[in-house]
Amino acid sequence: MAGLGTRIGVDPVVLRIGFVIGAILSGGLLLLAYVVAWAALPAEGQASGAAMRYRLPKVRSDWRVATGVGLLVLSILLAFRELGIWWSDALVWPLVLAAFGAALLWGHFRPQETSGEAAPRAWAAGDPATAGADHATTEDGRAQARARIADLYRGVFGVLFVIGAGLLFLSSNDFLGGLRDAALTSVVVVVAVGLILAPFLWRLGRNLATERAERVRSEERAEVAAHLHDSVLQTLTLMQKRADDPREVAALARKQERELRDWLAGGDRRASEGNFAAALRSAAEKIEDDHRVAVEVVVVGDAPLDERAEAALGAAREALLNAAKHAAEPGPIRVYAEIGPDAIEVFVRDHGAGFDLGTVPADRRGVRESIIGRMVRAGGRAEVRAVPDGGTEVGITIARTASSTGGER
Amino acid sequence: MKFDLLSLVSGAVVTALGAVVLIDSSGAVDLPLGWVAVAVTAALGVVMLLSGMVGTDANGHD
Repeated sequence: MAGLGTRIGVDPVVLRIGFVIGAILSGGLLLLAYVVAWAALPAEGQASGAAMRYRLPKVRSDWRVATGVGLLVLSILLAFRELGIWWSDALVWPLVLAAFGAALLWGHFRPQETSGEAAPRAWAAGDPATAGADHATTEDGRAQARARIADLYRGVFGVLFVIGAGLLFLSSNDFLGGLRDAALTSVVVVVAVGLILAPFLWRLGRNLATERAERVRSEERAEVAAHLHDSVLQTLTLMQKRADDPREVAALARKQERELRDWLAGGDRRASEGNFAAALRSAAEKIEDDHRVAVEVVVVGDAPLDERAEAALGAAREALLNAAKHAAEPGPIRVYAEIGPDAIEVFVRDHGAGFDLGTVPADRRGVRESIIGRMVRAGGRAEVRAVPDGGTEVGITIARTASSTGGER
Repeated sequence: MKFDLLSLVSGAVVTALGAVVLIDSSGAVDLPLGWVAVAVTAALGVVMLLSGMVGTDANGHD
């Protein structure tokens, strides 16, 4: 209507009102004209001419063939009736449905239809030599999958139409009476038995679910009990035996705390092994266990343990080791690591007496080589500075990638 | 010169149908409603069948 209005210069609303009035006055004939115009006139943006090519091909060709076959069969049957050759009206629709379904199945099993429509198009366009190549280059996997699904649906619909036609014919001729009675009896019996057994089945299902939940709870309880016995109770026994050594007791308690946290976390830490954060925590725990000192670790972010991260980890381990050896008292050693997208930063801080790097003898290479030298060689840096309120902080910084270091190297 | 088979046959069928309806309207032939139904159904069937069989051909020219 809009296109026609644009063409003749009339408001589409006026045209629509006129069309409705005309459709009423013509007894609906104008509706048929509308359908014809819809099929014949191109939509906005389409080239003029051959509009039916745009409209009708939206319905797949096999369905059109099936519809055509069904209509032709119907017309033949109607012609027979007009000629007086007629058996029964019950034959018409089963035959039409059967013809429709058979035509669909026939289209389904045509070899060229199973591989999409590109090849038949090219073949029909008169260029069979390029049909295969076009098909190979233009049909992607999704199109082929869609074509396969469409073929499958078409086949299923064809079978259903044929079966439905057969059942309709049998039903129309009262051949299904006995079968229908038997089916109805079976349904009634099944429903009755189901109603009788439903409360028992429902209770049985509930009991099974309750029993399963109870079994799961019992297994979990047994697992928790076994873990508590193997770890916490054993550690408590050890702590009682070492009650005269506070550092040992503290170390045992911290070790048990770590294990318990790991267990409660469900093994997340094992999954992240091989990353910087897990490796740093492991190094801190080892030093904690070996030297009976308290180490508090806070890590923000994570990164794979590549060459640069390994260097930062080695330097941090060395700083921790120095702090554990020389500054374990009076407070815990604190490690703060921040892994950003560009750099890894680690700060190891103790509460010891502090020291001046310049006063360290030249033959003591722990800080100079294992921390500062290691970081410089890897492209990063390390700084040792005294903390105003006492203690020492080792700051370790390295870029995540070589390009981020600029001219540091 | 290239013929569009679908358009050609469809046009011929619709023309034939129109001619039948015209003759019936003019009173030259008294066509019962049953035969009109046969003609319309057959015409639609032929057009649909042909459209399905050569429809991919028509698309191929686009």
